[in-house]
Amino acid sequence: MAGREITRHLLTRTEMPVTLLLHESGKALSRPRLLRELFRLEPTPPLVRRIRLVRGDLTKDRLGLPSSLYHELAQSVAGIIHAAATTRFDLPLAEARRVNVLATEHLVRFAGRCRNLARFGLLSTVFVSGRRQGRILESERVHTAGFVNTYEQSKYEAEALLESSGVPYVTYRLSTLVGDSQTGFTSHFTTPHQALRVMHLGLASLVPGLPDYSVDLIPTDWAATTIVSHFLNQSPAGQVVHLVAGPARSYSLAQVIDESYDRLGELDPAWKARDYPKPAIATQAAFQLLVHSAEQARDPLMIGVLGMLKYFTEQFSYPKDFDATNLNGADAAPDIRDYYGRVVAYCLKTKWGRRA
Amino acid sequence: MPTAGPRSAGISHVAYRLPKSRKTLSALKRSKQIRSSVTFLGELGFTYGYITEEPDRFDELLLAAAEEAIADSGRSRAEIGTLFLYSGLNPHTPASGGAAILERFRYPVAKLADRLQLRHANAMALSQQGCSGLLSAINLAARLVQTGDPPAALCVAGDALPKHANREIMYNVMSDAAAAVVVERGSPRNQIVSFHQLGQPAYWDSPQRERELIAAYFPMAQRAICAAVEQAGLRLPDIRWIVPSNVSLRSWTILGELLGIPASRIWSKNIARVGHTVCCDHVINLRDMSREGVLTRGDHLLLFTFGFGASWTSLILQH
Repeated sequence: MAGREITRHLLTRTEMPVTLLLHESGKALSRPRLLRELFRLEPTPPLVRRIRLVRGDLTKDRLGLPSSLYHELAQSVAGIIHAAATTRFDLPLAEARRVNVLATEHLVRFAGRCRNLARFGLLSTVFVSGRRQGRILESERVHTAGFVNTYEQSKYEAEALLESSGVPYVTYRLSTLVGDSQTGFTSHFTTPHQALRVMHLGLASLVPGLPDYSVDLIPTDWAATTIVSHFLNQSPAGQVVHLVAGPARSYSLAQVIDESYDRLGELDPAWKARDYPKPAIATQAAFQLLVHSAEQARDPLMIGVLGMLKYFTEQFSYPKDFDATNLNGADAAPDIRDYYGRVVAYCLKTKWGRRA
Repeated sequence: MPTAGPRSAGISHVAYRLPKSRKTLSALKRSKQIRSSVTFLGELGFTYGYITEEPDRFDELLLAAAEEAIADSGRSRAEIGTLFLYSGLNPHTPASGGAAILERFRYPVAKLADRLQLRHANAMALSQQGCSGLLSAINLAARLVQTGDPPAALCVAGDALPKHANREIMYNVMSDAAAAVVVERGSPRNQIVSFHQLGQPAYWDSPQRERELIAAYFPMAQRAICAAVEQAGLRLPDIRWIVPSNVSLRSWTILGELLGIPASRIWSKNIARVGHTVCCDHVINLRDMSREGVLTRGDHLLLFTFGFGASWTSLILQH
């Protein structure tokens, strides 16, 4: 999600040539189609000429590229933004590591061969902090608090690998992305969107966490603008930047539930008439018992609903306040109150991606 | 200590009857009367299902429970102004098709009043509140005895599933049972402190909305319980005992966690011993709690249940 917006931003706000390393699964995409479908841009000839498409696989040696191409790229690349990742929370650790750690290892190896490399940017997550609570500094990574899911752990390990690589890196730890602040658009319907869908289906029962937990959500357009601007400003290597909204611009857990129901009710009167109760905010123990019961009952729908929530909502029991010193005067993230309604509207309009 | 005012009302006497026949979970599984595994239902706290062999026997259970409650109360028949019969699953449902139209006017509540010799009581039947039915009947009865002349009302309830019917509803093992309650003005025990019912009629189509009902259960239960406690001018720690409906122990564990009520204050023994009886659970539990001596005068008791329809109902008593 962030990778697409960053690329879109590079193409629309700068003049620089962009090489896109795409997975084999994107093989069929021509440059014009790619511009139109992935980046929502009109494929004008100058824009098409600025893009170079390379098909590869980060999980393979030499990025899955022919040797000649690998070496040729190493001569020309001046900056790398590593936005390829799996953001699924429910993968087995080995699979999450394969995509998020091994791919980083291969790309870092490639970066080491890039003579002109000025900066390597890694997109990561503020939740590498795992089960830690309290103030989380950008300058800290190492902890022993454990992780809520394999995504957090694999990103933590990818950061560690980059730190020790000798490559001139910047790590961008993103908070949870929810879509475009102006349109609500999202290319991926991730866990927050799916949680909203569960509420819309009337299947939200318990949400584990603390009612006043600050649910930090950021819009994709702001994240892309901020990352590109920071990346191009040649800030010192070895920096970690937290991209967060902060408590003042975020809803609490209780508020985000209330706002979700209010927005859904305004936008969908038929749904409102169903009078679904809001989920109760519960302890982890209560929620885990409910999950266990659904699993024992072998109810596929409830297993799906609760399973989706269980890999994500555990964070709501570990309140955090993220330091954002290294944003260095960049515009603050928009307040969720100003755009959450657009996110909800987009989800409803597209039926969570089932209707283009 | 409760002080029964002249116009206060409460549950003075309770009685219940269970069928003689009961089946273990394994036997119910063998006769295809439960869908889930024996292990799973066992983990949810169930052991048995009580089964009435014949519809006529069920009538005897209702009658026996009612007679015992009246006898224990020491009230004369003339002092009982109202008879409520709550039954959501009447085993005497008249046949459709060619049956004479008059068949539909053979009222079980009139028959019960006749057999109890309650010739002056206003006899009324209630249905369609599922497991909330008896608590609603008690609430109505309390209002009547508080405002009317006769000082007592009798609430009788019971349900029996067809003998070979499926006995698992939403992962609960169902038993047949009958229960009776005398509600009296100035009752020396179990004064009604508050009654709170949250209705969600949008959930009326239970089969179609089964999963939505399961999802709604806990948040609505929390709201109904907290509202009743607040209405009573109490706080949750003031509740000495949760008198549960005998739905799964797992659901009570979750609800207890949600409310911050320790399992030790939820009297859950009868989930294993009896199972879930639609609407008689609270009476059965009150009676057994009393027999076991766990109730102390002045204890606040919270009775809670969910009923299809849908409603979430809390009744707070002071013992």
